[in-house]
Amino acid sequence: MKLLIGLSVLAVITMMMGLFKSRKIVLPVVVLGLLGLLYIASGYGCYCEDKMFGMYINEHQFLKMFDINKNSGLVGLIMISGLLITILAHKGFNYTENHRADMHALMLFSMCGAVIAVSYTNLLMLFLGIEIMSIPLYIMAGSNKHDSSSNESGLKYFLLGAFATGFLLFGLALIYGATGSFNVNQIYNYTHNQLNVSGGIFKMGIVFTMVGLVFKIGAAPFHFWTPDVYSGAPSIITSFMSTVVKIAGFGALIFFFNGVLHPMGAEWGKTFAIISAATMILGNVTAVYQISLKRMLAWSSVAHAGYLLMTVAANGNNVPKAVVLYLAAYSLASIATFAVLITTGKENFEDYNGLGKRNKWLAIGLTISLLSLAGVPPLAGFMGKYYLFTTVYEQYPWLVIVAICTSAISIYYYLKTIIAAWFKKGSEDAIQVPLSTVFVILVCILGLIALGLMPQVVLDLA
Amino acid sequence: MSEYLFYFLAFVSIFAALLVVTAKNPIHSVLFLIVTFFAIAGQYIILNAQFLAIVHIIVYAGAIMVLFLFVLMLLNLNKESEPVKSYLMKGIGVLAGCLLALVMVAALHKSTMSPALGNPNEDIGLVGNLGKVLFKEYVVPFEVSSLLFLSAMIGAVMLGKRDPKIEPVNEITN
Amino acid sequence: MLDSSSSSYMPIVLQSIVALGFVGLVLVLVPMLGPKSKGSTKTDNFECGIEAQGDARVKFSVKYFLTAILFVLFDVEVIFFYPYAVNFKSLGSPGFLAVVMFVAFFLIGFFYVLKKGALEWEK
Repeated sequence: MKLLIGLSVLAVITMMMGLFKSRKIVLPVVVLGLLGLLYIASGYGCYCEDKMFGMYINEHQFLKMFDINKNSGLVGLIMISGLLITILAHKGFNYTENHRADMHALMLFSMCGAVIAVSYTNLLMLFLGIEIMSIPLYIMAGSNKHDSSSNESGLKYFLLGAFATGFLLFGLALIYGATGSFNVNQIYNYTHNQLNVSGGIFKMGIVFTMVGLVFKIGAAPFHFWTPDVYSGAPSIITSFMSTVVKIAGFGALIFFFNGVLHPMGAEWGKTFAIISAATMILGNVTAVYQISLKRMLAWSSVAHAGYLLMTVAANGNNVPKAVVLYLAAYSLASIATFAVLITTGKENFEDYNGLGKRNKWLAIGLTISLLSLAGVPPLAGFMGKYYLFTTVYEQYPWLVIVAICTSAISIYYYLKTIIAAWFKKGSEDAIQVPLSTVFVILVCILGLIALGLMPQVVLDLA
Repeated sequence: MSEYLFYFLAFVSIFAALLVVTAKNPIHSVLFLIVTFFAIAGQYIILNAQFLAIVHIIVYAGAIMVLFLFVLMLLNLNKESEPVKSYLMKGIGVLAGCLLALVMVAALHKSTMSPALGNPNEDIGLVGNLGKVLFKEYVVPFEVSSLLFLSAMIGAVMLGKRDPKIEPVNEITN
Repeated sequence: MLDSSSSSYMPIVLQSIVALGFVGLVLVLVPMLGPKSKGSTKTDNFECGIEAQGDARVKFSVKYFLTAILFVLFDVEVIFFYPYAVNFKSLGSPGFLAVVMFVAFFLIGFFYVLKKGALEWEK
């Protein structure tokens, strides 16, 4: 609760700063505030002592089984990703000079929603969290008013997202109708006591909830919005969408299906296995044919959602740890890649020809992060994939085989970018990189290498 | 009596909702949507939730519908500029909707409401009880929803307000 | 489901029937009683007596929409007061604090909107 209050107060302060011509100090204030909140989040665990109205995470009956103690892993990831993206915004928000403070405030509001979405104990809070996360996003996606693709992205995301939220809400209402409660503990008891739940209302509710959440993370049957929205939105917002939002959406999904509905895991596992396989194949194969780096990253984020969904299918005990590690690796690599994208301001592969000659450090950052996304040892992406695959292998060996094959495909398009950056000839103008971006890229790279060598750090934390 | 009323209102709301989708003129769609909202408000009254019924009419049929009309005016829909949708797409849409409805009916037709709900208190929807639940049990979601309103406000001002630096575009203002 | 108070809706039902019936009656009676005249001038839209020009749908400025959307937000806020007001006594100070916090957020928002000049009518 402290974290949530802190985040919303920080957001309000940021919003007010926009009114008083204090554009210069907005970024430092937000960064300092987020650092402070990160300390709160990491310290003695902001969730332990908090039993406020039973609306917010803490003592679940199934917490031990679910094993995300205090959920600090996911919340920490959200905070760290948010912090890194905020620093990137120093350059990333250049397109909307007048609304710097507003944009920072919206991003913080969105983070509030993300934190709620991964730590709800009441389905009403899940809905509110998803909404608070999404509404600022719709606005931010369309924030570049004079760019028609940004407008398209905002509108598309809003229309489809609102539709998906409708599904989610309908699903939650049906679940309430079946179980008589929004409280996750009671729903857990309901599923636990009636293992062969034959209630059509309950199942319909779960299906609709699944549609809503799967849409938010952009997995297979509901992924069509991803490429257009991701490539149309300003790059800084895309980086936010593909990291913080994905973490939150995925946290909400895994918490619901592997935590609240754990006793019914076997029943839903097959559905998720199919969704996951379809997502991996579609995402990776389509990414091969892209000519724009940003669009390729959008498709690759679809593919990564597919890898992560395997864990929902597996419904095992070690799952949360593997998920947190994978999400950490994925987020750091994505942020570094987007940092490069924001610095160059270019989106097509051709523009990255000869990047190594134009700025060595950008090219190194791009290379390491793409290699990590592809899962090349000894980087974090490899460790993430390794733990993910081993946790899933027991139950769904065929799924792991699909995952390995599609990862092999993914190496092709990641390597294509890297080869373009180092071995192809392009423009030779040097690129100036602002200090803030250098810092972010450096942190991400170090994080990727450190997690690759010592994954135990995150695994223990989670 | 109330059962017949329920079926009547349900029929009206579904029929009007179908007309919303099929109406050629967008203004007619909006009017039918108002009919749908009134029918749903009637359902609330049957459930003895008068406050929700009135709120539903004030907010949805009143305020939100004005926004809908504004959007229609903003878009300036004309017969000439309306895109022609192909029959194939319409057919696929109808088919998909029917399939979803079929699945839902198949899943729901035998199920009963949970015994956990018991016999719900008849007065649960009255404004007094609603207030007690809202400000005690659900006070955290209530407070959190203000964040939603704030971000919506920022968004409205940011997207709706013309930036001071940019030259005004030509548009007809009343 | 309809409880004993269902009879208390009778006045509303009667009122609605009278109102709708009156409208229907007028609509039916007027063409029957009044004189009829047909012609292209007669069926034209009436626009202050001069000939109508162009389309009735003129492109609106977005500033109307901004005002309307802010109205909706504050409208929803005020609606939350009613259930609180009904329970004012029984909710006591915790309820009061909750409402004060909610209103404080909205006041901040209101201040923001004013300061940004979103309610000023720009030309």
